[in-house]
Amino acid sequence: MRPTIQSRPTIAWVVLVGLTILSLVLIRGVRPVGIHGLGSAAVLIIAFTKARVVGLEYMALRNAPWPLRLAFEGWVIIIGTVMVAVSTLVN
Amino acid sequence: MLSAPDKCVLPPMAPRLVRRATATPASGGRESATPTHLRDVHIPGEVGVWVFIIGDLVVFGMFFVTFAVYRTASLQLYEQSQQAMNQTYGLVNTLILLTSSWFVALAVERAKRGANRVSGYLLTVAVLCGAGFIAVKLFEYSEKIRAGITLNTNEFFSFYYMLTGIHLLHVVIGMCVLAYLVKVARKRSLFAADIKVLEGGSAFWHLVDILWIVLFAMFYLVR
Repeated sequence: MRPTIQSRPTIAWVVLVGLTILSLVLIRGVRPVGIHGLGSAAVLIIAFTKARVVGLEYMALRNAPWPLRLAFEGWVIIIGTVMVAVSTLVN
Repeated sequence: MLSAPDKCVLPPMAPRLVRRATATPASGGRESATPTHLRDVHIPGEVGVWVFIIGDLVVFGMFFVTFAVYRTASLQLYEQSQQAMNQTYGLVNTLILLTSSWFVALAVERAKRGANRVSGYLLTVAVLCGAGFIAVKLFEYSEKIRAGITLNTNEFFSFYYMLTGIHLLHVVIGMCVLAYLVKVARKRSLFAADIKVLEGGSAFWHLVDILWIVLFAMFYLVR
């Protein structure tokens, strides 16, 4: 058995925490520059990327039959794209 | 009385194995004879659980898009309201849920390898993480209500209380599911059906995590 530190769930957790911190840094760092919508879009892209990581690594959809994986990945892409488009257009 | 060691009984039906040949640049894009990678393809948990999970994702997806569209109509109001949101509470709850999902994923991994007792402990910690999430959320709600911010304050806070409230209900249900999984994981022997229950129940908890990831971005970060 691989030690916990090297297991996929642990690597996924490190990635997810890293992306969470990155989104905070982005939203606080980009805002003063004035590229307002870019920060929102980046934060939403990171959020849906995190959702995908949770789905593939923790829900084990990486090894799921393609219709199930397609349903999940379709949700991530469609809802993520609409959210990013709407929030970017308004800004 | 001697206690039998933890053991895991593998599923009676062998999972479908997919041989995924790897193509390397060195082989000019051709499939190389070795190495090959074997990947077991199966539905994690029961099909019914996934019907519910995908349905829940669709419903929440519509909530998310509705919020984004309404936000475009009253951008100034939403931005002013977001000033009252404390990002620290959102961050703490995000880290709590991510960590609980990590423990749950490790628990399922361990249960499949026969380490039932460890699996039970990891799931118990995940339940405690859920309790921590609820505590932070209730503290945040009470702080807002004391400041006079309620469901009727404006459109932004109507969305905030409604969506985070429905999510909180998911957390409570998820904790009940995890508590049941602790009981399953503590069995002396785990059979294929038990592993299915662990996979399905854990998938529901991860759904709770996914929904919060988006809610955190929507209410606390997008400005």
